Amino acid sequence: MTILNDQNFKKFIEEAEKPVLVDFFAEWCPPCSFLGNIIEKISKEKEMQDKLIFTKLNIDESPETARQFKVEQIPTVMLFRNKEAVADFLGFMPEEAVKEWIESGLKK
Amino acid sequence: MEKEIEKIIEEYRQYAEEKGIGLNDNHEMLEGLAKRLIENEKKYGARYCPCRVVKGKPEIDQKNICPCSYSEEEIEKSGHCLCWLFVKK
Repeated sequence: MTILNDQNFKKFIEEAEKPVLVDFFAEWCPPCSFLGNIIEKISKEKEMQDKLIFTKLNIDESPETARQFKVEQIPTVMLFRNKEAVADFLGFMPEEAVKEWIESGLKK
Repeated sequence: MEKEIEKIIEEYRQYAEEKGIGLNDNHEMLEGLAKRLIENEKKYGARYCPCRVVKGKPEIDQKNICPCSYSEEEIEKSGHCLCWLFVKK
C-alpha cells in the first residue's frame, strides 16, 4: 500500500490513473488497526489491484490533509476518482462490507 | 494495566446491561479500546472516545467522553457505536 502524507497527497490524487482508496488512520485507534489489516488484505487481491490504488494516511503525521477533509473520526476511508472524493465511510467494517462499499463506490 | 483493563471493561459491561445493549464480543478489540480509554484518561483527564480526535476544546471534547453523546443514536442506526465498543443485542 502506498503511504500518503501532506507532501505527496495532492499530487498523487491528481495524477492517479485509477480511483484511489485512502485509509485515514491513527496509531492510537484500535479499530483502525483491525480495519487496516482488512484493507491491506484486500489490497493484495489482483482483481482489486486492477480496479483501484490502495493508500493510507496517518492523520497525526499529516494533519493538514486530515483537516482539509474534516477527518475527526477514525478510521475514515475515502474513495477518490478524477481528483474528487466520491464515497466515504467511518469506523470499522468487516471485509465483505468493505468490498461491497468499494464496488458501490466505483460505480459512482 | 491488565487489572485496569478488566475493571474498565466490567464498568462498561454494567453500563451496557443497564442500557439493554452489549459489548463487542471480539475480546482483542475490546481490550484495545479499554486500553486506549485508560491512556486517554491519563493523558487528557477523561475517557475520550478512542475513535475521535481530541480537539482541546472542552465544549466539543466533552461530548466525546465514553459513552459519548452520539453512541445511542449510532447503536440504534448502525447496530454499534463508531468504535464498536457498544453493540446492539
